[in-house]
Amino acid sequence: MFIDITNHLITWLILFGFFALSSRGLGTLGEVLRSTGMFLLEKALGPAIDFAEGKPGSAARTWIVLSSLWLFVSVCFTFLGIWVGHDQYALISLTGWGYSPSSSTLIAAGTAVGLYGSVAMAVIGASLHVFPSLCGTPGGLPSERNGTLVAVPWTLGVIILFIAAHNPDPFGIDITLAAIATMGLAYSAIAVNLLIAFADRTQSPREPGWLLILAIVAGPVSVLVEFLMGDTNPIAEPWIVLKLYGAPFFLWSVSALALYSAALGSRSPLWSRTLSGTVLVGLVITTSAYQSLDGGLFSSLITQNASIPDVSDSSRMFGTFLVALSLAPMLALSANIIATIRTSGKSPEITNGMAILVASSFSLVLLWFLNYSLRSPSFVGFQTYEPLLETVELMTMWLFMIPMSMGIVLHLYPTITNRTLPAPERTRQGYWMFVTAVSAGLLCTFISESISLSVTEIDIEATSSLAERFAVIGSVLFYGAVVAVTLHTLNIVRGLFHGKILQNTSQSSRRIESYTINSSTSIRSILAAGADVETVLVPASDTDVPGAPTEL
Amino acid sequence: MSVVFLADSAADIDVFLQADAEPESSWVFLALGIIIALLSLTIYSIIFPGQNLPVISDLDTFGSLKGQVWLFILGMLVGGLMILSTLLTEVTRE
Repeated sequence: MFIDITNHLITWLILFGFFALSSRGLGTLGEVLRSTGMFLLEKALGPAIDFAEGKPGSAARTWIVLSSLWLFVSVCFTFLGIWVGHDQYALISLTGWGYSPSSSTLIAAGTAVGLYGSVAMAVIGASLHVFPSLCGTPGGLPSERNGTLVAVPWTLGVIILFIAAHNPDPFGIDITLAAIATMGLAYSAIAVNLLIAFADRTQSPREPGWLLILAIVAGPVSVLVEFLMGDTNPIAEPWIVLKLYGAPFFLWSVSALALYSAALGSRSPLWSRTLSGTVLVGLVITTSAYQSLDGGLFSSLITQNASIPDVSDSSRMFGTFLVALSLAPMLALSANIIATIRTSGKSPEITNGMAILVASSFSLVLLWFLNYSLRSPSFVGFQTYEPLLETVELMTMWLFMIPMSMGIVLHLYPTITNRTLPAPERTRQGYWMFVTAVSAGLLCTFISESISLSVTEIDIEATSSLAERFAVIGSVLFYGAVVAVTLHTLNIVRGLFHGKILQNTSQSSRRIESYTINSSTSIRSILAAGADVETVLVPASDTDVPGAPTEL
Repeated sequence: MSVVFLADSAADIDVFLQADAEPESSWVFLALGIIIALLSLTIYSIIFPGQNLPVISDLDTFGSLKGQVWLFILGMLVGGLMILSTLLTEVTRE
């Protein structure tokens, strides 16, 4: 049996064990990991490693730029998929070239590229920069060259996945597995690189860092548990690969990076430590059930024909309870990001990604309710809202996953590339266009499909022209996202060459340990004096010694 | 740190209850327009239930674009070429 309560419990136990052991330092294991890992990452690759440059930040930059390019491909194919949904002969003229995709094929291709090309590459690129910073790893990422080099097999995997979305077995064999294996190779190297950074840490990575490292570790742990506990054969059951790239990898890491970006981008400390803890524990406990009970966004992508396995009633109850409980970490994540960004008292800046982080945090809660209400019948075996789920998945991706990753990229871009984006106005236009186009376009598509479903269910002969009108409006509006992503990608690419070079002030402007307040003082003047969130404010009265002259 | 709550005083009435500016007239007309439009729609649906709106219902919002996906694909190709040309020219620029 695929899903089993025991498997979940063992997975959590191993993750908790990893957390408990590593929070005290990896000890001897760290030494072994460091030497073996560095050998695997650099020397074992032989001359191939010399193809990549090892400048600081080069790995993160490579992954993030590639993620922006994939985003453009993704939005184009998703738009075409939505269009062909109401105009099935739109691309009929391409049949002469042997290309006649259906709407679901185009959407699957766009979604696969969007998730594994854009979101995953943005997440990995950002992690390669953020995680060593959070850990205070001396020298940053242990192997920049390997981090840069493995972007190649991952990109190759995404290309194969893109082809597989059109035709999974062009040569009589399932090439999806080849894509997963290629990406798995890159994933292993990234995991080792980050684990070495973790082993070399000089400080606790705090909640976002813990969530990030657990996101990297959870996939392999989950796969290991499946092998140990069951008679799973990954060749016969490709569904297991979802364990590797499922909810932990995408959801946990995006959440961790969004928390990091919200705090540093708004220059405000995270609003609530309790909420950060709730996100960390809540996501680990509850969302691991997503991929077991109903894969949803993740299961329908890389294994389109895979069926969700039969599960026992007790497992269904257990899983349904966990999925319902996952509202708590979602609310905590959303509230923490929004409150942190709003703490600064200003409107969220669009140019550094804060505004899009707020927008996607708002949509996260709405999307959770939409997902839960429409998916809950399928938890107990009914396919009531099955036709609507494809649009719900699109909404989850284009209103949460992709905007979050865009916000993270916009925030980290200047730090990683050491350059600013060349056209802030273009970023603002892109933001408004993207948010409006995606929300309005997909809402219209959703309304159209709801009308069609209602008409079908009541089994009447009448055809609804209203559904078709909404479908056309939805697809035209969604085209705004294509324009917005074009602006975003152009900005990212041009920024590499034309962005204003930033002065490196990270260490030179540091700052005072304590600040004595003698009289009423504005916070601005305290900050201008070089204080930061760690500076201790000391009232003048505390420095007075009774009987001694007043200190000036 | 404590938060200080101040009691209302008579002096506050003059300060806070007297607006000292007006919104731009365009916003007033916009708000009025939206309210009138909504009211008209409601009244129409009560007086003529189930009937299409005159003129507006005959407008084919984006329907005429059906079959015109190539216009959009052209836009995508232009966007893709802009990205590609930026990459190529910037990388090879001396």
